[in-house]
Amino acid sequence: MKSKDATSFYARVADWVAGAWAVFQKDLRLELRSRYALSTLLLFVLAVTLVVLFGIGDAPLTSEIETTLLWVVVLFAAALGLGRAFVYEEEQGTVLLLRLHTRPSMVYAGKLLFNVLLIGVLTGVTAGAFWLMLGLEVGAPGLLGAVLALGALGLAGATTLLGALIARASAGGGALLTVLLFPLLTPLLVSVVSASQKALAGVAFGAAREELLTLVGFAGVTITASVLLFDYVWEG
Amino acid sequence: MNLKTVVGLVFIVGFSGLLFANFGQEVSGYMSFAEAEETGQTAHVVGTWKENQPTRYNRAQNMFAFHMTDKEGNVRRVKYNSPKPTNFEQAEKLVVEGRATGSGTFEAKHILVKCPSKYNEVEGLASQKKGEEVGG
Repeated sequence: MKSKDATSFYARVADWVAGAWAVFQKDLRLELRSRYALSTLLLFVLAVTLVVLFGIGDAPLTSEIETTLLWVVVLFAAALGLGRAFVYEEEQGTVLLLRLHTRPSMVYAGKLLFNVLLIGVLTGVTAGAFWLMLGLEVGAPGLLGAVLALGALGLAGATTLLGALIARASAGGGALLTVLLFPLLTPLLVSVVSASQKALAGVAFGAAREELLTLVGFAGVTITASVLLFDYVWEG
Repeated sequence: MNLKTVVGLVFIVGFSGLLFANFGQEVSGYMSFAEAEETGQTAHVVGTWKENQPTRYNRAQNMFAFHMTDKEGNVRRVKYNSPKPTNFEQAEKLVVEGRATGSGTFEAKHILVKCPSKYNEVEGLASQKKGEEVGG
C-alpha cells in the first residue's frame, strides 16, 4: 500500500517534470526557429557597447561606471525581450491549447527556465562584449559569474509572472511591463551593481556576502510568490 | 489552507527576511577601514580620533592629517583636504567619507563631526552616549 503511494508520487513528479520540460523545449525550438528575441537582444547589446566604445574612446572608465553601464544594458535588454514569452502565446492563439494540455505550474516552470536561459545568455554576452571591447578588468571572475547568474535568476523570476499578467491585460503591453518592473527591481539592481563593483575590484566572496544573500533572497521571494500566484493569473 | 500555500508563505517569509536584513545592511553603507581597503570604493567609516597620535595641518597643501580608530579597532592615518573641522577635539564620534589609498592611509572627502549636545547635563549625557546607535 505504502510503496504504491510512493510510486504514484514519483510518477506524478516525473509527469510534472516532463510537462515543464516540454514547455521549455517548445519555447526553445520556437526561439531557435525565428530567433526573434535572441537576434534583437544581441544586436541591442552590440549596438550599445559600440556606442559606449566610440563615445568614451580613451577616457578612463572607473569600475563604478563600467558596472553601471553593464547593468543598464542588461536591464533594458531584459525589459525589451522578457515580456515576449507570454505575449506571443496570446498573439498566436496558442494559450487555450497550452491551458488544455498542461497544468499552470508546468507552464510557469517551463517559461521560467526559458527566461533564465535567455537572460543568462544575454548577461554573459554583455559581460563578454564589455570585456572584449572596453577592456573590463575582472579581479574575481568567480564572484562576477555568481553575481551575473543570481542577477539573471532574479530578473527572470520577477519578469516571468509580470509577463503573464501583462499578456492577459492587453495585447501589446510593452510599456506596462517596464512600469511594473522597475520599482520591483530596485533592490536587485542596487545589489547587483554593488556586487559587480566588488567583483571587479577582486575581493573575496565573504566581502560581497550581503549582496549575494540579498540576491538569493530576491530570487527566492519572486519565484515563490510567482508559483503561488501563477494559477490565478493563468486561469483566472 | 492547503499545504502548498503554507509552504509557500513560509518560503516567502524566510526569503524576504534574508532580503531585507542584508539589503538594509548593504545600503546603510558604513564600513570598517579593512573593508574599505579591500573594496577600494567610496566608503563611510565611523570611528573615534586617536588622541595620543599627533595631528598635523599643512598650510601649503591645505591638508589636515590625524589618526582614527574604527569600530573594529583598526587604526589608519586619515588625510583631509581642508582645515581641521570645528569642534574636532570635542567629537565623540567621527564619520569620514572617502577612499582608502593603500599604504594605510585613508583620503577623506568629507568629515562629519558628531558632538555631544551641550544642552544636556553631564549625567544625562553619559547615559545618552551609551544608548545612542551609530548613524541612527
